[in-house]
Amino acid sequence: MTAVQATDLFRIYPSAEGAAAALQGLTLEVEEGELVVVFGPSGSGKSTLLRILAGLDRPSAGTVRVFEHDLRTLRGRALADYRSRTLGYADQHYGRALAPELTARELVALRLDLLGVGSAESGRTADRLLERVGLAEKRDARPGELSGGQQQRVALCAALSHRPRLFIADEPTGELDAANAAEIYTLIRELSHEAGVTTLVVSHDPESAAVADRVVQIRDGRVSSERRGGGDDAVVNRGGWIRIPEELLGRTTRARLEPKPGGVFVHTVAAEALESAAPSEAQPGAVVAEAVGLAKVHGRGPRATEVFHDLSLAFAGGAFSAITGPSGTGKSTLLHLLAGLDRPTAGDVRVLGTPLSGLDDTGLALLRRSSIGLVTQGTDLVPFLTARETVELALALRGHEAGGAAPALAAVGLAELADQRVARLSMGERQRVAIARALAAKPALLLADEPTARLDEANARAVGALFAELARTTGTAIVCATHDPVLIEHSQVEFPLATLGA
Amino acid sequence: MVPIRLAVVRLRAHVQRNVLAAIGIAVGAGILAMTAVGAVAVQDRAAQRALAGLQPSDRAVQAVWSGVPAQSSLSYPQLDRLARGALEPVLHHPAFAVEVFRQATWGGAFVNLGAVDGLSRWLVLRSGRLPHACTPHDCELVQIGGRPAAPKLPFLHVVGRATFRSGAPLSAYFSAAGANRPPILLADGVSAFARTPLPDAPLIARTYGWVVPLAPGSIHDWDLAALGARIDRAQSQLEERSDIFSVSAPLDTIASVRATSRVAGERLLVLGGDAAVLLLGFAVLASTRLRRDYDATRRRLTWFGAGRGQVLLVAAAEVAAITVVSSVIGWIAGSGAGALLARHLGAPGWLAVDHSLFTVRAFGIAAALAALTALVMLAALRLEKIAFGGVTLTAADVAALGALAAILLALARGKTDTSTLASSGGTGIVLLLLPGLVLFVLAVAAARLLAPLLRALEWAGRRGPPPLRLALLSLARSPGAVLLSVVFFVLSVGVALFAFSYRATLERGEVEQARYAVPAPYVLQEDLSKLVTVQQAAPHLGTPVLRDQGYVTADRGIDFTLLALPAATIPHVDGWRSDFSSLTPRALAQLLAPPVTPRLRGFDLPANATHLTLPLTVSGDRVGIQLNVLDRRGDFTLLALGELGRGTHAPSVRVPPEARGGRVVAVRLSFPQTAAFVAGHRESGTALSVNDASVGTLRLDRRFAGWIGTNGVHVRGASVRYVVNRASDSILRPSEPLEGVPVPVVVSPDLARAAGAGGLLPLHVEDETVEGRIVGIARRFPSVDGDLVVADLPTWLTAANTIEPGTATAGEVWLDARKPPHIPSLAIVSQRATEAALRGDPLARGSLALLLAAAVVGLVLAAVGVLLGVVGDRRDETGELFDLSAQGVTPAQLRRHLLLRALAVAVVGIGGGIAAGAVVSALVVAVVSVTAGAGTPLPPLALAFDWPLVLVALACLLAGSAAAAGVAVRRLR
Repeated sequence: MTAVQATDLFRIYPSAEGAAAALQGLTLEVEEGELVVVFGPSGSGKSTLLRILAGLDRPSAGTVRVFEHDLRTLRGRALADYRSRTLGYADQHYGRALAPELTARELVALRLDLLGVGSAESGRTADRLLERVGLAEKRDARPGELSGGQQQRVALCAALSHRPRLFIADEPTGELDAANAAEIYTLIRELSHEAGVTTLVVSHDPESAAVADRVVQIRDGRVSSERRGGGDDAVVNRGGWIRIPEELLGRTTRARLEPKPGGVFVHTVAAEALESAAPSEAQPGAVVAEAVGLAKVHGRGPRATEVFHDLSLAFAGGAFSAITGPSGTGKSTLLHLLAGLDRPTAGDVRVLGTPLSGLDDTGLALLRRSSIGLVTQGTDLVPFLTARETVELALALRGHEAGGAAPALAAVGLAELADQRVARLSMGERQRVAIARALAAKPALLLADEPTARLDEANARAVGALFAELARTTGTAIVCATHDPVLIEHSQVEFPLATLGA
Repeated sequence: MVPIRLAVVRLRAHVQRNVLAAIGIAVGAGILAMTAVGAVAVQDRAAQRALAGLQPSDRAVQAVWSGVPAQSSLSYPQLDRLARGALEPVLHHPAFAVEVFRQATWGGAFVNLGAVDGLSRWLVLRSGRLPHACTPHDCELVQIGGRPAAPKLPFLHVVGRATFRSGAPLSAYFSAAGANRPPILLADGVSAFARTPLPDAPLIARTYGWVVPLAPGSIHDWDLAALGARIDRAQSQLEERSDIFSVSAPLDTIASVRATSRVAGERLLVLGGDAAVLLLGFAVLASTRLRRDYDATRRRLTWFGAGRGQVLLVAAAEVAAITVVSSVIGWIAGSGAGALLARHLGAPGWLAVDHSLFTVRAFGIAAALAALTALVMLAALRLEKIAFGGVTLTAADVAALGALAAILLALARGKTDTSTLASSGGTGIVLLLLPGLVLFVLAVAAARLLAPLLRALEWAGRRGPPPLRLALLSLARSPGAVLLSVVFFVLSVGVALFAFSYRATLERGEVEQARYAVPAPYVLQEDLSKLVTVQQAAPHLGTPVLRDQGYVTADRGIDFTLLALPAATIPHVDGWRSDFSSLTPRALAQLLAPPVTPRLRGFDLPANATHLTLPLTVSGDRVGIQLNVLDRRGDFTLLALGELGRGTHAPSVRVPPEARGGRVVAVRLSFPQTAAFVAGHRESGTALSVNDASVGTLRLDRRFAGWIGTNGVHVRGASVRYVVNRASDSILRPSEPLEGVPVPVVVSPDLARAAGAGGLLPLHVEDETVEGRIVGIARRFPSVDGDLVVADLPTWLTAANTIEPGTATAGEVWLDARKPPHIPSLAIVSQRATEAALRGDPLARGSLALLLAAAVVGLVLAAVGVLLGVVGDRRDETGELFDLSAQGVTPAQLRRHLLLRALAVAVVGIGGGIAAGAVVSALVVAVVSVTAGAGTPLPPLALAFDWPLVLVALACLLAGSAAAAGVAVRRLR
């Protein structure tokens, strides 16, 4: 039986800068019990597809059915009923999905409670699921007291507690390290197969393909290719649209088609293959930043958690360093300490020879302004600024000319979206804006926190290459907290935090 | 109930966040509660004051039986039982009895004889001792007033003399004793006195009274309605047994007080309406600040499959909890503040609270308002923008359009005055809610106008430093919350400014009313109980003024008040306001002033003349002759030369001191009195033959040469031919300077419209018709209510006394002095005392105090709004602020960024609030014609702004807001 049938879906968002098409004739079918992973670069329409399937958005055109429900016509109680009984949904921002006031047990039981299941039974179900995902001991903990992986596991339990017929997950491991991500995918597979749930996972993580029955690629709001077991099949969309994979296309804008027996051959015209930026050969220069005997404890008293202790690291100019390690090992914390956005419990950080302990908050801010660039995960950019203004503001703050904004945005592939407000950009596009902003500033120390977490592989490679090139050409010390193998591959130095400061 | 449980968990987890929202709602509810308590307290004080102003004997509930016992079927004990039984439930106090035999002779003494229960408490002993309790066989008496009197009856003994204590409620029974009135003899105890063996007593009329005094403070405004009903019940009960019984109480006074105090109470709806709008405005503001969190919760719950009803229930439960708790706290705090206000006004604080808030109606209103607040919050949380014909409307826009419709409807229905308010018609209430509605509409309009302003600011600041640019960008591009903050700021500052300006208007109104009513520091008038003229009592003192009533026949007749005063004094008259006329007082004075001050002609009497002898010859019938002398002090004296028959006479008459040095301005010839008497009888049927007129010729000396005659008097050379009768006196007088010349007058617009060609207008005053020539128009003139005619005093007097010599004189003196003159024979009205009385009026004090409180609360709420905005911005934008910090924005710049936005809101809000408050103040002053003391304002209220106070208040607001915002962002890193 067909569980999901989406035909010729269009979704167009009006905006102050003009209409933006997130879906452009997407057609997709998912069979009951199937586990489909949807890949696609940021802005390709993955999340929009999931929002439509979740009944949180409606298509501008086209049809979409989930089992017996026509999602275009579902309204009011029927829609709520569809969401509460048929659907299970896990968001890419598990932190946003989990009410901070409730315990893990209450969160998992909440859906059943809302369905009117007795509190005893919902509690038992919650206990069983939490035990199944190894969080039995954390059942009374609130989200703020759990690590990212733990929170995502709770979110999965909460989404599956009522045994939905369709489970959809939007980049469920976007904010997790590789180990946790693998664990989550395994859990998704196990839990969905145990319950016989049709599952649709949107991801950029190639590892997720391992648990999929079928992998679907989405580009520019259409399904571009499918893979079931063997190689990828390009999908010919209505009207004969076919998407040539970017890695084949390179940077060309024209191609020549040559029908031949057994197929159609595509020849790129004036192809400029994207050079894969090799790791820098340059020798590391002087130390730009160093951590000396660093320790950090979160919280106080019995609830205090030590993130790391006696951590000593040095980051040299011209070097691209990767801080790796599972979730909860303190990668982001270390970057915040290096940026002077947080204070260590013990030890000190020196940036360009200046001990940060000797600076007050204003001094730290001025140091960041002059010498440090921080690439956040892009979710906290000022939403009412355009991509260009975001970069220009940072440049203005640092006393640079605004002219550097356009090349930086072009470098991350956002030239066409430069005048879109950040609020209208996808999460991956926002992340690229954050990267462009850091690149444009050309700081002595560039800190990046999971900069490719929401990027597809091609974009992740491009970012890795950009970082490597920046380090090589400008002598910038680049420090990335990441679990992305693509970035790690481009880095010159890897600091596995779990073994260094645990 | 999962949603409820979830709401409880969320409320417990976010106590701090909800507190600010709750504070605003509590403050709004508090103002309403305080207004309600204040209104009751004000009404009670008004009632107390009116009752205190009554004569003690009127300030009591009394049952009175007057009659002859022998003719009655009820004995005194039965009457006593009946009366006490009927009166006791009225005030729940026992009555005391009174008995009086008015002006009767007992044992040879002509006295007022009577008895009073508990007599000693009403007396002040002057000599002897107070009587012991009366027994039928030995009844001691005390004498009050009069010559010593003692009835020669063995069981009556006078043992002392006394006077009534001030405040004794007995004057209705024992009118004040005096030297020429029979003394009052009183025994202690009516019951025993009624059994004394007074001779023929059963056959003699007497009055029994049972009195329950209304002690000050013993009865309150809220008791008055029930009191009236209980008095009616007592009356019915007593009449049922004896129709001679009557029950009296100051019911008319009570009704009048209730009407006035009701006006004051209704007018407080102005504040109530403002408070309600402020409360609802704050609810919307608070909701927008909670919206981000609410949206996140809604999204989560939707992902979790919650139905729309369940999501709504979570929000509703949270909002209801915040609203209910804060409303309860607000009402409790408002009760306390109201109780303090009531005590400040001299009313019993908690009783006022009890009768204003602890009533079913008040609970209903409180519950309804809390529910409305919750609904508004919920709507603000959930409502999205509405697109209508290409225009995007927010919920606030839709509400403002509704409010605008209500305003237009209300204005179309007319003005609100004291009578409208007293009748409590719907129109009055709607009109009084106008300020709140207008403020709301103006606030939304201001917010709508703000968007282009913000875009202009963004453009202007594009080259500014990054924090400034960012602040302006955030205002221009994400204006939703900013607009609502501005709306609320405009509302709260508008309420404050309105309260300040309306208060200033009412306060200035009190001064203006006092100065208008009494246009000089002291106004001296003739005391009608003493009949001493101002010229007699205060000669040559201050400015003489003539005030009289008159009418014009044109335009179906218009009554007017004539005010004649020396033109030169008009610029110095107090109480003049520039809106009374397009002309200045100085210009009016110039227009009224004659080129030369006119004066009646005649011949002067020597200053030392004690007698006047007037040689004359009468040829013809007997005629009465009087000389009309214009005294030097300004009034007239008639010197009667007598009725003289044919022949030559030299009558001499004594010249009273006031006439010495005066001027003889006319000779009055009259029909002899005897002849007039007989003529009257003949008309009624007598057979006697009498003449109808005296006809003859009079020869006078040369001092009368050139004089002219009127009403049957004709002058031919030295002879004066007269024909006089009873119809009117005939006059012989000199030709006067204003003979046939119209008097320049300033009149009110209605009279001006009634004028004929050339602005001439016949003015009928005191049976005379003086032709006026309109030289100016004034809508009002101090001390005059209604249509007016103002003239120069000498000109008017000359003109009027030309027509009828000796009839027009000044009746008032306006005195510019620091201390009041000691002239007991005149009624003296003090401008300062009038103003003090207006200021001391409890209704006025209450209204002004409440307005001040509302202003302060408005400002406090504005500051809370700013704080709420900054705290909300900081909370909602944690991520963005962190990102900015990561880019090197210093903590000080981050703080400046947030504070700049708050400052922009405050500045725009203050500007809009001042404009909105001014508009509302002007509207209220124009529409609500009620003084601070709930009376009709004369002159009408004129809008006033106490700018120094407003500026200080706004400075405090800015400082307070800045301090609060500074505290909110001080930990920003």
